[in-house]
Amino acid sequence: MAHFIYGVATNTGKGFFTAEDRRKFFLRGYPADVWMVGNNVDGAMWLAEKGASEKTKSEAQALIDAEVQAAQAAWDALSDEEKANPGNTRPVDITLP
Amino acid sequence: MATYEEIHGKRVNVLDSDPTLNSSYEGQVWYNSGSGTLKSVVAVQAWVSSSSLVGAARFALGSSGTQTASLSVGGELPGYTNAVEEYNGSGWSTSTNYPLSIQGPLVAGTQTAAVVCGGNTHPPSVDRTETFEYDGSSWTAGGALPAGRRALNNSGFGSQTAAVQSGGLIPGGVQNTSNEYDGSSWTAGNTINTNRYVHAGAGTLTAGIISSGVGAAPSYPSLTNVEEYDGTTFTTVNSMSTGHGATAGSNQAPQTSLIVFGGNSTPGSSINNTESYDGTNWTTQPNMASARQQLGGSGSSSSSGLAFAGYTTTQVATTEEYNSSINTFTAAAWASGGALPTATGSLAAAGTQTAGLGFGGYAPSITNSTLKYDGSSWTAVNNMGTARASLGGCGLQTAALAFGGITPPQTGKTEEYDGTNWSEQTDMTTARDRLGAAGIQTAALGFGGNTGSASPPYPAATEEYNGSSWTNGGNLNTARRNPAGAGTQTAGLAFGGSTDPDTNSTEEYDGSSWTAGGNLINAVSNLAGCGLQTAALKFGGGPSDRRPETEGYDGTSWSTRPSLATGRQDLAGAGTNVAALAIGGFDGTNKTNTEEFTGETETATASTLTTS
Repeated sequence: MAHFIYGVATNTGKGFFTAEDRRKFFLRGYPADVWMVGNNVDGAMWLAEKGASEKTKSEAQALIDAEVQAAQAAWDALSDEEKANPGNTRPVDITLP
Repeated sequence: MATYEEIHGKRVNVLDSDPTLNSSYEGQVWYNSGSGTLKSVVAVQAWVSSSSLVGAARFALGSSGTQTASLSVGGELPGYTNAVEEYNGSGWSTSTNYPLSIQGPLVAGTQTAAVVCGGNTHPPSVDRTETFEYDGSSWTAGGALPAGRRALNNSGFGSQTAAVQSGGLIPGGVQNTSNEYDGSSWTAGNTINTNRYVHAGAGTLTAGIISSGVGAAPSYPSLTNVEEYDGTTFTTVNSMSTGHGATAGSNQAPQTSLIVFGGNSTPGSSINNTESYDGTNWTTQPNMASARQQLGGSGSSSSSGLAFAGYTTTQVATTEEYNSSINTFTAAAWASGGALPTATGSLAAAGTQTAGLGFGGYAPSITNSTLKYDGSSWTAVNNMGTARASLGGCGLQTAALAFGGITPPQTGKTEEYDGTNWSEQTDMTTARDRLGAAGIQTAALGFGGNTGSASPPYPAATEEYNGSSWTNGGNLNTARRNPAGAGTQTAGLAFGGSTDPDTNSTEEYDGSSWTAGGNLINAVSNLAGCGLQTAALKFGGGPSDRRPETEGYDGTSWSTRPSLATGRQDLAGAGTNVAALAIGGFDGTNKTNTEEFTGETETATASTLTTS
């Protein structure tokens, strides 16, 4: 059995995940509203309650890649002066663990 | 039928409402005339999860101490480790390594005065005789055991100067010998009645107890046998209800009030059973969440225990706390807060969890945006005069300070916010971005940072703001960029950052100079922090791995806390160590995420008595 399940859900802010949720199951957020959740009843219920569309790991990775690539393209379009700002670093690729 | 008064010698009090509860109310009964209910306070026993060990998952470790001051020594990863970790009631932090990479050493005593001996090193496999004493920070050689022993784990009891070792394993078989340590040397004691190893010990040299463990060949049973020690003789007493092989217990507890938990059942599957002992009888208590054997254990009574690491179907690093209390414990956690209207990184923050302020940053262009937080959502308010990122910020939602940053180039501009408008003040002496910040609007600190192209050397300079101008303070001992800050102008804290490379250095400021504090568990830069010098919180950071980890500082050392849901760097922090805000940041893209941290809480609750 896989350790994690993946879903896409928009973070609606306050109450999207609660402290009680965090105590019940593992939760980690990624770009493109991808959420990696512990593969247990509480985690699955949380995804369902948020109306998340469940994804395979490879589907989730593809969504993240697309988001990061779009951000990289936006960064590439910045002026040289803006790119030179220390701290304004080019978005880097993210690989799901 | 006997009345309550006849049984307990007291009448049932009639109260308008439930009293303010504390431990003295345990077992008391009263009538709440307001709700028309009969009420009482009942102790509840439960295991709750706590922070995991800092290092790798391990089993067959040595352990001792109490629930709030526990000690873990060595263990198997696989491959033996010399790692030493200390638990402070909230989280684990690393300490000075044991002189040997070792499996199954005996540990007796406390976190600051322990004796460790025996165990096994490999390869080649050697059952060790060495003894080392621990004072909370360093190891000193003591007198050697008469013969090498392994698989001692949590079986020792007593103190650093009056400890007892019993049983153990050697290639020749399971042992029944015992030895006593007097602070300098071991002398042979009487034999135990049942040969055993990986058992649980508790009590003192003159009132000790050993229980369960694994028995002798050929079946190597998980034992239920229990023996009490009076300083001379081991006497068999009432057995436990379940065999606990490779177990652990509250080994700083007295002989008459202890718990034993976990282990394995014959033929070796992990169990989560817990049993308490009152000096006469064993009573079944709630199970641990995680069945495990070869675990670490500590505790000071039958009401408080700590289980950590061990082997489930693989080695683990998890920790559970056992409490028997009228209080309900609620673990710390991060929860989602209101999202920023625009994804922003490298911003600054001020205020509290329910009255926060975020300003500046990359969104993705450098912004002068200012947002206030009410505990639920962010609202745009009047902008700063100067758009900037990687700036310093401190103060309150209605009295904040913004200073430094990059516009570009680096700036020393300082602005005060009064809850409505920003007004420009005197510039910092040294223009810089990526600096640390602490304090309030009228007594702020700015330290470290970057004055050029984000390459060393970085400034060590500290500047103090008094509400109108900046003056020089004492230099950081470790010049750095992208540190986090907490505390006040006269009791400040600088932690993490990059020198390059990233540093775990913590420094404490007393109003004139910086001195070294306890190191962060992980070297990290571009992190956020909040709180006070003696009660701080660190969260997030990078630069490349966008960390979710949270650590708490108690004025001496850092220990683990529950992680952010979304790991990120270049975020902003505000609030306190028990009510914090993590705002925005960057995890490959700038983030809108806000997360709210709530520290561990405990609450006493009265139960309603019913007839059903």
